[in-house]
Amino acid sequence: MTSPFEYLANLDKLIHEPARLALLTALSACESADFLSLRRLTGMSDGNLSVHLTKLEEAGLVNIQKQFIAKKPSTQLKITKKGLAAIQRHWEQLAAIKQSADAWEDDSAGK
Amino acid sequence: MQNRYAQIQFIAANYSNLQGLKMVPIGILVIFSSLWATNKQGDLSGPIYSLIGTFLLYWLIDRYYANTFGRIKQTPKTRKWEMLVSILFMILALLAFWLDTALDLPFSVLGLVFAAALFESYWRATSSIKERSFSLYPETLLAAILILMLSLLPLTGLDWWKMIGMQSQVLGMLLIIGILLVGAGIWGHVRLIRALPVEEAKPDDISL
Repeated sequence: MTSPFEYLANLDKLIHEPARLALLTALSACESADFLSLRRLTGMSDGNLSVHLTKLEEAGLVNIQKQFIAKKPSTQLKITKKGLAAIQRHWEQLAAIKQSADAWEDDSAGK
Repeated sequence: MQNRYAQIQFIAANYSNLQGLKMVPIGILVIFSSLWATNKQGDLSGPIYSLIGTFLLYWLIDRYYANTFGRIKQTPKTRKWEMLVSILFMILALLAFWLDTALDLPFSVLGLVFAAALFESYWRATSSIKERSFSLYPETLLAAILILMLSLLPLTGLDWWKMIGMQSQVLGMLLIIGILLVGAGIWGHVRLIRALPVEEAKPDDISL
């Protein structure tokens, strides 16, 4: 059986960072979201949110589109297919780690 | 999935449905209509003005949510399903209204249809996350149970609508639906505000 530590070592650090994990989780549940809604959902500051979104965009996990809605600038964020696959895989890995850690704990207690 | 992330996923998937204040003007319109029909006021200007007021208030509340909380677009699959379900329940509600007024049934068909719509809404909203949680959307489930019980209450011989001064079961049911829409709407809004974090996620927030 793979140990929880091996699973942990295989986690994608770019996605596992809490703020980026929250952003990808939110974007995976909808078609698109604007900058303000993501700020409200995650509680991040404008600057921090911008930095994390840029990192995700550079990795090809999200698309950032700037447009004008009713003459006001609006930033729309959308998860890419690669991003969707990555976040789904990440949650599966986390579930596997939890399962593995539980089994490991049971084994240790049994010894 | 951890609670915080499950909550984020739930809010993102059901953003428009969680904007509870949008239900308030609709609820007020339903209350007003049932009271107007009970008092049999011949002048139609009241309902017309209240309909216009409802549209205006709904639009203003929609702007408030967009400016304060931003906009999230649902997935095409969710949008399509919501549209289908809305049309289906609208047709069923009209049919139920006709049945309730045309026949003297010992239960409320309109109430049963409304309760079914609320159960469907609860089931759909909570199915967006792996582990269903009552605390994520309690007002809808509680309203559905209450409406279901009231719909079937006349089977026991209790004409509850007379106790609240309403002329018929269908008008009594409309009044209750209106009150529940207002109450659940305010509750839902407060819950949405409380669910949104005020602090940033910290690096040690994630635990396995």
